[in-house]
Amino acid sequence: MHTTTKNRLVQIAPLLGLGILVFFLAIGFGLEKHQVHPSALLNKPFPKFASTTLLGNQSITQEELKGAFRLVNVWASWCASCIEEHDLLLEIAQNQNVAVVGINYKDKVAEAKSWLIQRGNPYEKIVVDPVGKLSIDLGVYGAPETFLVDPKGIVRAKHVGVLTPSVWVEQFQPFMIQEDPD
Amino acid sequence: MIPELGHFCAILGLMSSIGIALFGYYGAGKNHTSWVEMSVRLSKVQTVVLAVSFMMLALAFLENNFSVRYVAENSNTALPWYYKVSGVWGAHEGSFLLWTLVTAIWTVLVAIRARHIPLKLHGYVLGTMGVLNSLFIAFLLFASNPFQRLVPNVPVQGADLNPILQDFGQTIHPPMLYIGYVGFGVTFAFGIAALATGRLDSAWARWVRPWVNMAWLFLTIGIVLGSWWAYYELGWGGWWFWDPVENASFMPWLAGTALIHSLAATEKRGAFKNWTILLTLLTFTLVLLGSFLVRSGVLTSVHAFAVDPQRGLILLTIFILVAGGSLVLYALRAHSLNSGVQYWGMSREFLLLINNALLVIAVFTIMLGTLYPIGYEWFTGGDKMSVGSPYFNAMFVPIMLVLCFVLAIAPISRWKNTPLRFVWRGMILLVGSAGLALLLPWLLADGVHLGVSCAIALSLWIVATHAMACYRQRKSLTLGFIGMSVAHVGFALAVIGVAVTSVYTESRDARLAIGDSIEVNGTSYKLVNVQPIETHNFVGERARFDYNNRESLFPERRFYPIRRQSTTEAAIRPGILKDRYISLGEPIDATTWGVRVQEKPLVRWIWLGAIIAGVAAFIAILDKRYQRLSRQDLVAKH
Repeated sequence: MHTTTKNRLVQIAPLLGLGILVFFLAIGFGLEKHQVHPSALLNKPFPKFASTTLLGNQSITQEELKGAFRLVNVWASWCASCIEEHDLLLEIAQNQNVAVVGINYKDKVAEAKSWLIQRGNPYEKIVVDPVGKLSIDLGVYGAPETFLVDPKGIVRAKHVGVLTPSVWVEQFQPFMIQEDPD
Repeated sequence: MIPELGHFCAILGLMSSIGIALFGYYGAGKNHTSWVEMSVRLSKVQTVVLAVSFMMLALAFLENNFSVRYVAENSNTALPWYYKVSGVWGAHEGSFLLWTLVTAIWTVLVAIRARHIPLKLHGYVLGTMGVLNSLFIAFLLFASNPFQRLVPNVPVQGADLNPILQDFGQTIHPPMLYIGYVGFGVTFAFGIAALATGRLDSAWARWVRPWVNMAWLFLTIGIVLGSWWAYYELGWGGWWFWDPVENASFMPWLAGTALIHSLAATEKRGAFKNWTILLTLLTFTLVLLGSFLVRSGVLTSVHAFAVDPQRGLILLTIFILVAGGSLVLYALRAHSLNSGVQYWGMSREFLLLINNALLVIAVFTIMLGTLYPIGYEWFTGGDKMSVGSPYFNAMFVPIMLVLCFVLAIAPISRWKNTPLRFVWRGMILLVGSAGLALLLPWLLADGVHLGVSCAIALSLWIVATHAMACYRQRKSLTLGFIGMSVAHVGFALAVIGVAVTSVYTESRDARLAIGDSIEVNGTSYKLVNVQPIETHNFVGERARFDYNNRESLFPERRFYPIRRQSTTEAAIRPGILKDRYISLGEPIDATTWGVRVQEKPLVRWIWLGAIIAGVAAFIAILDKRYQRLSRQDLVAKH
């Protein structure tokens, strides 16, 4: 009798596993809608950090982000999706009067550098984040992610995933036009 | 008119799949031949109408019929005709139409080729296939209709096919993948049928094994093509990214591999019966999970389809219905299939058990890495985190090394119990392989890398033990055993390829002006010129690199004006020992370019090994025991 109960449990186990899985998927589904709305960091100061730059190896903190609008882009050389948004970032850096700051996320320095040589470098500065500490403070879900930081160092907008021209025009540019005194 | 005909045929497809399900289940329940025959006939009808539907969509692409929304979004008059055809499955809706067609083809194949199996089993298998395709086609018609029109504002030009999909490898990659995915739908149906009839014996296992091997073969080829495509098209020489979409195809592959092995024990020894059934259900559940992740937008990825929350919700419902329904059936009925087979340490059963444990651990490791961020965010109330390739490499490599170890002993093991002298013989081969593995890198490369030597030693050991086993059994060698051995050798080759190319790849990045050279591994590559190129649908530049006096490579950068997207076309000189790989980067000024030159040793072995394993799965299907049984059984039936 005892073994039968045990067998029963073993047989029901996969179903319980599925239940847990479905629960998480349903959550993932809810979160997706969340992302369109403000995340915890919106309209709050960019998190404090102290790190170095990828090219030049100088020290850098959140203070260096202030003074002008900056687009902060989390990327890595292992991130296949980052390739897709790269042309847009190059164009923004060149033509849009906003500096792009990179956060190189859980990457190897040599690979990150050669990636930039091969594809072009849109970044004014690149903060290295080898273990993902800064990215955790930023609530990074996965590379790529992009934040708009205003001249006072406040996070104004955020996008998870590949940056597209429509996201740029609809979700990021309005903040800059609205607050640009010129 | 043509799109409407396609739409109408898809509706007919839905009706026939519902018919297949009803007649199949009813015929099986009543044990009545004519109902099941009805189901067989309808499976033919379904295949024809869905094929017509598919051709109508292809025709809309070829005619540049931009009044169809899907065509307008994924084609363009400047697109060459073959990419118009492949554009049919270039995005979500059309690829799902292909998916339903593939399901119909598997259904008709199992309807005809599995005629010899008992009527009840046949009916339940067909009925289950009918249920699956009913769900798929309903989803297609109600939430992803590729025939939807854009009227009255018909665009004069289309938005073009995504440039990274305008490529041969990417053209045949999705169909192969879908054939593999849905093939595991057939084994799922066999699992359901076994639960429904309560029959799971050695004969059942023999009926299923060819289907599992076929599905596995196509899924393997599909994954290889995807990896090969990423290698040459994404432009920087990586061949696996642990991208969520890659993981989505890799999880069912691992589970399918476990199923192949578990079936061996079920067929030969009647062992692991419940577990085998669970794997048939699990593999297809992972297939559905994968397509849910890719098509719902829960995860973002380079290959992900357009995000539509409602579509995701319907897919989640289908997933819950199929996976939940089958696991409820499992919970209710699995006890009727208990095996109670005994075996001892180091027996083949025990090794297969370890194999299955490792593969399933690998599946859950990947699943955890793919879904963990979602759970983390929920538990921490909005905090987010990410898992990248570092996690997967750290977790996956040790699992695979242990798997190699088990795999090497496999051919010299015996059912029930393995004599100790066999194990010792195997150990002697291990010592030899380890010696060779230490010697080879020392002779050929600068230094000995412990990880690489370890991988090579295990791989050589795998080859050695299989060669020995085949030699010892040369008088009674079956195609099944040959297939198993060849597949394992293919796996060993792939392991060597992965290890060597990961560690010994030489890569140099430089800014080169015309006339400059760069040296990699003693070979000098000279940038001779860069010329503009212009074709029907893209513009760009092509560089010429000379090396070894007379050989040249021509990497390109392309810009597709319609989508405003650029791609890097790496130039690759493939070789069995090494690939030369040059990618042309951004122009730095008028005469200088960023360039990456790589020499990647043994990188081809990864795909070669996988393809050898795929072919081996086919060799095993040709084994006499699958054919012989069919005839015997036909005699028994009459």
